[in-house]
Amino acid sequence: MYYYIFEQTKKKRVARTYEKIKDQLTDLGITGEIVTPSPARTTEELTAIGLQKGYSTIVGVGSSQHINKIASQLEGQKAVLGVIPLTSSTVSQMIGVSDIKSACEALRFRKLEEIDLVLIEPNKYYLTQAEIHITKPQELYFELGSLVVGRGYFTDLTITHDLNFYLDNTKTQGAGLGNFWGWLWGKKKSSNNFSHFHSRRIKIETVEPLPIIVNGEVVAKTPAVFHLKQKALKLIVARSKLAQGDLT
Amino acid sequence: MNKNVSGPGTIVGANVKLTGTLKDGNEIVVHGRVEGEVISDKMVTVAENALVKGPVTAQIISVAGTIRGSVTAADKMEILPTGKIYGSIAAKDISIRSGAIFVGKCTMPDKEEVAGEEEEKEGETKETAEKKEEEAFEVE
Repeated sequence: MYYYIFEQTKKKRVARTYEKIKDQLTDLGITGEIVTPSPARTTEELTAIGLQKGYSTIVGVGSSQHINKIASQLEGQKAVLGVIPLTSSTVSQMIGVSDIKSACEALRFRKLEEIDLVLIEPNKYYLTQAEIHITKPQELYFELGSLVVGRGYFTDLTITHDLNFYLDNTKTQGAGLGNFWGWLWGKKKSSNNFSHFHSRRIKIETVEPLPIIVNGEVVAKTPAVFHLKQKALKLIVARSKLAQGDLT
Repeated sequence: MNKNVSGPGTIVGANVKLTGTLKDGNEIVVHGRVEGEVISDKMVTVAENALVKGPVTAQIISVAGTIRGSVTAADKMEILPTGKIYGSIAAKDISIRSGAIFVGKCTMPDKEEVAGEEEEKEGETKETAEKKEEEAFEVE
């Protein structure tokens, strides 16, 4: 029933953590097939194999990057995604767990939540958030759905898994003599360079192509189009988590 | 564009310029520039130095910047000392602070008017229903 994909590691500390996880899964009675990616078999290929074998629950154990690769393969599939994150991250917040033990327990209770994924055209999905960070502000052209077009300057751009679009240019406010005097005379910094939008489709375009990063990995470059895939993935979340799309 | 009632509202930053219809189930805050319609089911705030060129519709509207277009507030409307409106206003409750600029026509539907309109509508619907009945008999 359970198909575990442990992220490959050379670190002894992580290997010890994996052993602890395996022990906990045995104690909870939710053991299953355990596989690890290698140069011969990537995470994506292992996920496809798990689906072919008919496993109903594919569990990603490791970093957000690793879990995101599995989530991308499960879009629109019947199989459910389980997650054991090794560190506190967006994924651990998403499923509502604070440590490995609670993540294992969540797998046992199997409380499901349908969550949204974002597709970056042509074929990249993500579960967490896509980001662009630059030091000097650049001009950005964007389209929200088919009704709104806009432009503005930014240093930080974030598009979440439910297509909340955050644009920030507050980094530049921290520099310059004016800010020094403002700080000296006790003037508060303005936070009105922050923008937030929400749409089912977002198109972004910059003057120079910029890398779009998901969990520390470059997945695309601008210009890019983001689509919201609503309730695209069934995710096992903690029992205590207040769910919006609860299935249990 | 945006019809997400449960999520956070829309914020247009000071360095952003938008063109098109901006629609949200939650609050919309404009610090930058919008050319087009702004519609919220809750509140629209046009901050100081912000500019909206187009009609604005919401339950509550607060203006410290500039609006060039008609403003319709189902509930309250406030123009702050730095606020400027060039266009007509329709609101139940209006507050224009000293220093604000308003050039246009203002309409305030009061409770009696609203009640009167509702009675008229009811009367009209009764009349049309009676007419329909009569017409039905004529056909028979």
